[in-house]
Amino acid sequence: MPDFMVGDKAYEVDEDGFLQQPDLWNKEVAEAMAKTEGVEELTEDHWKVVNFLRDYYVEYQVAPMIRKLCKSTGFKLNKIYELFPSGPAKGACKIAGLPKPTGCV
Amino acid sequence: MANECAGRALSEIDSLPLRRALVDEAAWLADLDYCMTCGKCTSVCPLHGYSSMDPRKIVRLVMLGEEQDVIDSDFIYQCTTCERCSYVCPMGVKIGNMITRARSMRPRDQVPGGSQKTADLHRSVGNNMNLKTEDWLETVDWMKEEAQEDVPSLDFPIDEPGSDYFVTINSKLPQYYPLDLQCIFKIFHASGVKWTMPSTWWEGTNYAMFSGDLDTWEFTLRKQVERVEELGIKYMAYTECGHGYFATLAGYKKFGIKPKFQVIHKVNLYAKWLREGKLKVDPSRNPQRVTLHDPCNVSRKAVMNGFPDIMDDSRYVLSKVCENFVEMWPNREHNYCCSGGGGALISGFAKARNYYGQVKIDQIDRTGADLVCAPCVNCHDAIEGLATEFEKPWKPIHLWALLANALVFD
Repeated sequence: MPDFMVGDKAYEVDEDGFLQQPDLWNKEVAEAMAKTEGVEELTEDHWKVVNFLRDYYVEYQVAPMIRKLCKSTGFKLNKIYELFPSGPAKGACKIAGLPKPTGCV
Repeated sequence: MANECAGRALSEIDSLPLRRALVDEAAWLADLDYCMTCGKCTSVCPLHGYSSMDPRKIVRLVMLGEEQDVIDSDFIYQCTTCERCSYVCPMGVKIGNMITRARSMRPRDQVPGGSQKTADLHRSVGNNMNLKTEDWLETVDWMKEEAQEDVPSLDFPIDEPGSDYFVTINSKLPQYYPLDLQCIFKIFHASGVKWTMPSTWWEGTNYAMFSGDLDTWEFTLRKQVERVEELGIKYMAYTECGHGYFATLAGYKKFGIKPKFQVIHKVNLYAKWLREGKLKVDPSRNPQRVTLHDPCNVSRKAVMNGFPDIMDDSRYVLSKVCENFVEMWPNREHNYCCSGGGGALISGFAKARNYYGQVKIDQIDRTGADLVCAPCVNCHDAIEGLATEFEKPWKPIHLWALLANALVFD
């Protein structure tokens, strides 16, 4: 498995760049991964999404449906796609340290 | 008397367990036995040259009794089961089928990536992404309300018995891309047919075929058939998912399932409804240059297995809903995989994908298209991955999105 480097610290990721051990996730990892997903800087709005995904995942061990994400953050669908140009699955979930989703993504 | 042997029905003898197993095994070996080692399979394989394995080699390994090397190889999961190999084989060796069988012999905990996990979820909750029924229905309602802002008369029932169409959906839509649901709602609404959205067993994919879990492949098909039949529905409208459509029709054949309804690909329905004048469209709403990617499962593989394909109908629909359609070459039965077929998208071999994705990139680049119509959720995602990874100006689009965008409501 390849490593994703944050400073001099190595994090194991799969070939698609998803964190292999979601427990090791931290803010620095999120910031570094964001850059690989077309998000130069994580703004307050980005963090609102990332934190919700993270908390939901920690509690239920699955990624929330986008409906829950919109309801909880108060963001419209398009806003989510604008914030994360590579999409909610490959972009936002990856940055939040979730594993690669099941299914066609 | 015909169909009898020594006073017993042939069908009875055929169904005896040992005989059944021997017939199946003999058919498989006989098929391999025809191999002339010509190497045509390898010459057309998109994965050829990536590693030390290739289609010709795996056929030889199995012939020579070294099948464990095949079962243990990454190749069987890097393979996109696009079946260009089988298509060109002069002796009809079914290499794609051999890959699926080899995968089925891999211990389940040694299946790479997420395809087995996806298949397990499908089996336990009825969809790939662990969606609860109430959450699914809430998303359906949400998108219905939003679609009603454009088309106030739009409405449809859930689980309506006696409907004409049972509509399947890929779970990625409610999970991450619900706006695509609106496109599907609008098309079915505009057609005027009696259709219903199911609350359960609506999943329009089948990752068990990819992982090689034959038991779950059959289980999930039977559960869905049961659901459609309980509702007494005539047609199952299969969504824009190539492998799901193929896994359904091939699975019915393989597992002897004889449903009381007919499976029709949504693209064939769009074309039918356009021809019948049920859908009114304005192509000027889609002025971009659009090309078409033929998904392997609904073109080459459908033809090879005698299933209805969507090659003509997808072109017909595009000719009606877009102003500027351009062909990609080679196309139709000769087209190349999107780079993510056969479960490759989820098997974790991104480098292999990007390797054979180069062919797809070259094909698309040569068209000069802005949009690549990919009437398959999996192809759509693989092409999107290539565009992002290699910073390409084009992007994929589903046929339902182009059609819904062109729809004119009175």
